[in-house]
Amino acid sequence: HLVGRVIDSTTREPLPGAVVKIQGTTHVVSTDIEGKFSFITGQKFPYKLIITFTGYEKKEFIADGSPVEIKLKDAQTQLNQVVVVGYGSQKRKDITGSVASVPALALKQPVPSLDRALQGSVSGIQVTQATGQPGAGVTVQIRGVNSINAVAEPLYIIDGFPTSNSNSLTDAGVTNGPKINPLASINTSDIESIEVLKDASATAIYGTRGANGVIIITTKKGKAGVSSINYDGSYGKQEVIKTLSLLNTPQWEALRNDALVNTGKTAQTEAQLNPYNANTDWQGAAFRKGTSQNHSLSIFSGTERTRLAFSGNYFKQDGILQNTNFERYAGRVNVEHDYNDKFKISSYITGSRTTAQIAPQGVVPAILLMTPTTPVYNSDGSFFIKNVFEGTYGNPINTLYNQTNTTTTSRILGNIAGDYKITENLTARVLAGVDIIDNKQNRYLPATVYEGSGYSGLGEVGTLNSFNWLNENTLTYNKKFGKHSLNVLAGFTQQQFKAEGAITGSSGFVSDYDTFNNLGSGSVTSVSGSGFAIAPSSSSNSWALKSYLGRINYGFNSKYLLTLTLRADGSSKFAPGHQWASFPSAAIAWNASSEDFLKNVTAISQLKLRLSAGQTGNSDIPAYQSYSQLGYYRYNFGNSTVAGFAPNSLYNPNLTWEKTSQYDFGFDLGLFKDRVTVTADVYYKKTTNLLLYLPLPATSGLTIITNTAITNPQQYENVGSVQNKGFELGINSRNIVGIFVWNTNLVFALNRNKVLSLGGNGVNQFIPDSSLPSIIKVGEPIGSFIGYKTNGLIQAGGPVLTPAANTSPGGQNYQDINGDGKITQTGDRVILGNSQPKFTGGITNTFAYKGFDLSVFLQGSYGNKIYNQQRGVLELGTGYTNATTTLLNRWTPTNTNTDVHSAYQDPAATISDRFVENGSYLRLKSLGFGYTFPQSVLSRSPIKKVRICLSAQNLATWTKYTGYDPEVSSNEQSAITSGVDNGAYPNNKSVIVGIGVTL
Amino acid sequence: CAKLNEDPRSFIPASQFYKTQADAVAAVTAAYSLLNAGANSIQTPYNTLFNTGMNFMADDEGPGPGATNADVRSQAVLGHSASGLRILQIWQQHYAAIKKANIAIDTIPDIKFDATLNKRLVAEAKFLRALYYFNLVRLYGDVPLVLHDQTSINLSDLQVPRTAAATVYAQIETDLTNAATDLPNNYTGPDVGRVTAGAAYSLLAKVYLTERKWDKAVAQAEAVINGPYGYDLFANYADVFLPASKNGKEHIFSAQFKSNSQGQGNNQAPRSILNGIPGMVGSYADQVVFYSVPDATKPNGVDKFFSIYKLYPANDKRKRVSFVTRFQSPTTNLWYGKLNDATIANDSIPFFNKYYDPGVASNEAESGANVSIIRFSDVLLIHAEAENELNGPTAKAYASINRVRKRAGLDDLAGLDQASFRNAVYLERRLEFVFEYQRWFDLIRERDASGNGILEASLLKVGKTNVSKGAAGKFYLFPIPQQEIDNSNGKLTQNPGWQ
Repeated sequence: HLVGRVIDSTTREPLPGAVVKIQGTTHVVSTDIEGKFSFITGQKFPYKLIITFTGYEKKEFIADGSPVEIKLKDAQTQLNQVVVVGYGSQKRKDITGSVASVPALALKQPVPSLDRALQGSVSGIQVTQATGQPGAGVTVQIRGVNSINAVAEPLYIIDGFPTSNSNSLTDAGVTNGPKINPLASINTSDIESIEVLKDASATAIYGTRGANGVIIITTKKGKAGVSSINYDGSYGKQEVIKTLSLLNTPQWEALRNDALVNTGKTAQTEAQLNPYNANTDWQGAAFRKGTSQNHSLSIFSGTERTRLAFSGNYFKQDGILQNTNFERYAGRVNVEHDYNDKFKISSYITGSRTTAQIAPQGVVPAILLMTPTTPVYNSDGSFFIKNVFEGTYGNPINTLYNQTNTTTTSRILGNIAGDYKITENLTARVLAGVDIIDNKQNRYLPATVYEGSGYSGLGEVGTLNSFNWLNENTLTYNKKFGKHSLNVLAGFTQQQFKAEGAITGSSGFVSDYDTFNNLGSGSVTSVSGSGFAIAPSSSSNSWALKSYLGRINYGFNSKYLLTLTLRADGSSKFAPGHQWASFPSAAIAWNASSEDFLKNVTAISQLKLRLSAGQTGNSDIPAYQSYSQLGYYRYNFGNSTVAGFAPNSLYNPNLTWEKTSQYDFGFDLGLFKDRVTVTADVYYKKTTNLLLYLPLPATSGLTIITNTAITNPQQYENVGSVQNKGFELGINSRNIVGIFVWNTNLVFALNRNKVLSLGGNGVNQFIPDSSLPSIIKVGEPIGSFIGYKTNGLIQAGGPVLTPAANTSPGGQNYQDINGDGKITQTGDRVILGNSQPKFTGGITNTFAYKGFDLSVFLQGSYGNKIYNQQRGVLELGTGYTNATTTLLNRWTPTNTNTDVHSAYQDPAATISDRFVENGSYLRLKSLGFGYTFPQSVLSRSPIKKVRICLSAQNLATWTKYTGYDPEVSSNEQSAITSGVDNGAYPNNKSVIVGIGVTL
Repeated sequence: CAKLNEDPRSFIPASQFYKTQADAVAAVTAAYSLLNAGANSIQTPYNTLFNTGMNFMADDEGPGPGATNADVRSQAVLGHSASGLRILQIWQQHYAAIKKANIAIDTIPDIKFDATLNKRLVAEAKFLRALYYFNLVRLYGDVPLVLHDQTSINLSDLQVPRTAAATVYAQIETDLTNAATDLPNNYTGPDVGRVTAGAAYSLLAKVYLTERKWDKAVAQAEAVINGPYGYDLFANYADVFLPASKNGKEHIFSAQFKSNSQGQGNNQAPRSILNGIPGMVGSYADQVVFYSVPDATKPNGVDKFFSIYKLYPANDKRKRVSFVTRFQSPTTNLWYGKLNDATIANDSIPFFNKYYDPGVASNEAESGANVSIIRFSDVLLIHAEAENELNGPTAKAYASINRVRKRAGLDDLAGLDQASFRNAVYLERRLEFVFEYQRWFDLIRERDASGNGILEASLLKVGKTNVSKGAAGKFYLFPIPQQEIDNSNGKLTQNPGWQ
């Protein structure tokens, strides 16, 4: 019989809920409200007790039978946790800015690329998975969208190397369809921590690239005296989240004949409508259950002087569309070596190769629009080539299976750094790093698919090689004078990027055997006029950035903290004389809980108030935008091609930085010995001198006409401004501690975005693409939609108010906003909503009992609108293509009480509120269940730890959105045209089993 | 060490250009380029855009089953608005071409090289600028008249108001007159296809005709017909369109197309070909407009598949050149065609055939057939029309129209009054120039005996009832593109009926 008590070593307060275990047995108890426990066992004294309690250091104690009092030492609390910040690290309690750490649990999700792990994990960061293509990019916004045309994505710092998630880094320009994310080249199992820098105080040290926030990724390093071999493996299945309800053959035939008759044509017979006697479910044929697998092996080892980490990774995910996939091989070596007491050298190098077969552009719309009367296969088993009827949709199943559309990226990202202690307080650091990305893309349309049939096979290849080097030289001075502490950083950095690309293509192949690998055997080369094949072209672009940076962190008595930052950046992208700009910031923080009057308030374990202001910049536009660039315009005389040149842009002598000023007030609060921690921030951001891709009047003559595109005349100019203001809240609570553990992590953010100006000159709005509802308008948020408001259907004898061709009863009526008796573009279109959520949030509950753990992660978005353009097409009701079952309730002379217009051919595509849908959703993003085998089972084996787990992603989604998935943006990383669903690759739900073994 | 001064290598900065003779020649080439630019996915005025964005509204051509663009289909039934995509593209592309002409006209005189060539290049650019403005003023009415290269990045400098159509016409006349004096009568070798003096005078005749300046139109047409340019009709109508006889005696000025060279193929050709024929590229995106006429031989006494194809007299040789009813697969040698209605024998669907290039039968997207912008039969019919308006159906007027009819295998006209002669010219133009980007321009120009436009009646005849909705008159002018109005700080106004 043993009785005892567990108390806090400093406060001597009882600790209820501590777990006490007798080593080598299954005897476990937890302490009561007075911190007391007792054992009644037959175990012979003396035996060893193991006492664990969250937030305290683990303790072992030899019990000899007499009553014991066990003192537990406060473990490193959140306050003492070291957080990686720009060009250094700080204890959390000393940070003046808004820096959030991504919880370890979020990093354990089985995701192909690290940015997807950020979703719902940290307040104020909005992650949208634009497409379900495995490996494809996501959009990440920190505290709203600052920039209309310059890149609005955050800066990523991987082990000190600044890089971006811009899809253009890994896109040679040959594949069509979704683009692969450069961050997908990083093995997610290598990641130790991710910090998100949000306010100006935290990001100003990255000056020019800090305006959109900064995400710092630190990979796992070896530790002195710790050796382990770890294997993590998983295998999963995924399927499409849902399918859409479309017409079957009899329903579609009725619709088509209705449309023909309503348009004054003759109805068709069954033999004409369904000559192949088919009733194809195209979605059923296109979607599959895909598998995914991930294997990571890592080895850590370390001595006092040298610390090593090695890892290898294989990841493969099959898409839910037939024959689409993503595959990654990655390896990493992290080395840290103390050469002597003064000199330390470290190097972090990762190499990877990713390959993806991408779903070609338009394949999802084709799956939806193919008429059910078209068979997938001919009677001989070969693929049916195209839609039986009008419209040029090729068989999308044939396209998926037989069209090559692959992208392969090899990447080496590495740096080497030396730290030299000049004096006890002064350290010099020199870092050199490179990021080398090689992208190769292949596309081949064999003669057997519709898209390639007219060309007897068509092949294209392209490469893009980029080299990005970085050199950083910094001095850090660290000193404590009594109650004063000072940390000073000064440095000079330079970075240069150069990319060279080449693409070519040919067509007219005798055989499809070689596909894209023998373009020279194609009989037709340089045929860009023929629609598909790319004429040979090459490109080169480079940019450089030079920076001087400085930061002072001053603390008095660990109570009053001050951070001053200044960074001066020079960018090659701007006009001479406008290349340099300075970005200052200042922040103060007050650790109020260190004050005497709060020290006695036991409920408050920490309270820090933070206030910051500063300016950051954005230069993320293509290079050379200040030049008047000549474009190539050929013609032919005497039946010979001759070259012509003419300007495609205007010389802009004033092009310079986009600037964001940001103000932030926040507090960090810890309650009940940090059982509950709360972080809240309010902020205001104003971006001026926008790098606006200003639409110019076409009379400027700057419409660019190439063989592949007509581009509206636009020019980068520094005009306009945008504001974002918002509130963020993060709550972490250890609800139950002890043998049974229940933790809750809640994040919540709201952001309000508004375009303040577009530079005047009468320009207060522009529509980037007339086929989309998207509009940028002064006074409205970025991502707004404009269109008509529907107003019931045209009824016999009733008013007719429509811009469309169908003016008969059953046609769609619209609201005459300006009351002039007709529906016009200028008078009757109104703002219909916008793609920005009113708020976003996530809540993670984790439970643990003995070896079992369970995590439930819910994530959601509220108040955002989606323009379901795909539904607009599916509801046209022309009978040219298939349609949704909504049209079963269409207006007919006998079904007049409906809001679904009649079938009719040749309608204008009318953008209206009918297709603006509520994009709010709540999603069971992740549900994970794991079991860790007890030591007693493993004690005789060399295995230190085994954990098996079963997890599910996107298992349930609650939404009113009628498309495939509310998390969608067909235009990927474009902020302006966000929230438009034009037949994007649908998202999936998955179930994954995994095992983790540590030797 | 990283360097901040940019050294672009994949484009030429404008500051490094416009310095040599070669630069001057290339600057003018760019001004021509719009005439044949394009690809399947990109349409430019003389490479399908004038069909999809203009002639589809008329009574001879419309979208075929392969035309899936809802904007195009709605415009074809005159259900479009100022936001129509093609409305914008025609405007955008003409101004893009005008900028290229302007920069050539502005910069070339300051470059030192052979004075004759220097003047000729400027004259070519002036002709092109006149052609582009002539299209714009006919389609949109008053248009912004930009005559110099704009280099300011200030939006307010780039927002230009509309200029009265009369002023635009005056500028077109000035440009053509000035150009003609510096242009040669013909070219040889590698320069064939460039603008000639005869082209400038011929276009001027057409401008005068459009302005209803009958006397000047007659004089100008006669100067071309009787001038030193060597123009004549081909004996065989088919030669007008065959790549083998391109830039011949009948061709005054053409958009130059070329097979398999950087996308300079004539993309009109595959659009007219039935899709699904083995070994042929055909999208079936263009089709004749079918309409109903009484016909006792057809079921219910109505021919529901009447079209321009059946408008040709039986002995008109142009019918078999302009249309085909079946295609032979180059791989299987089988013939492919389609009946209008399976229950009516021998009533085949006709397909346009003017730009079919026998040299690229397996990929007509690479057709090398030129598009005539103005050819000799046009000048003859301009002459006949203007002469009839000025002096009635004189012998000179008959001579010109009958020269065109004779080549087509038709009998001479005789004994018509002024109104009948006018209608005869209108019909002749329709049959002669079908599918040559002329029909809409003719429909908005031509007037009946009482001086009223023929547009509404012509379109109602083919069942395009939207033409009468609201003010029929609004269709005589395109709307000014909405995007341009939105972007003009109130400087651009909308055409009547399109607000």
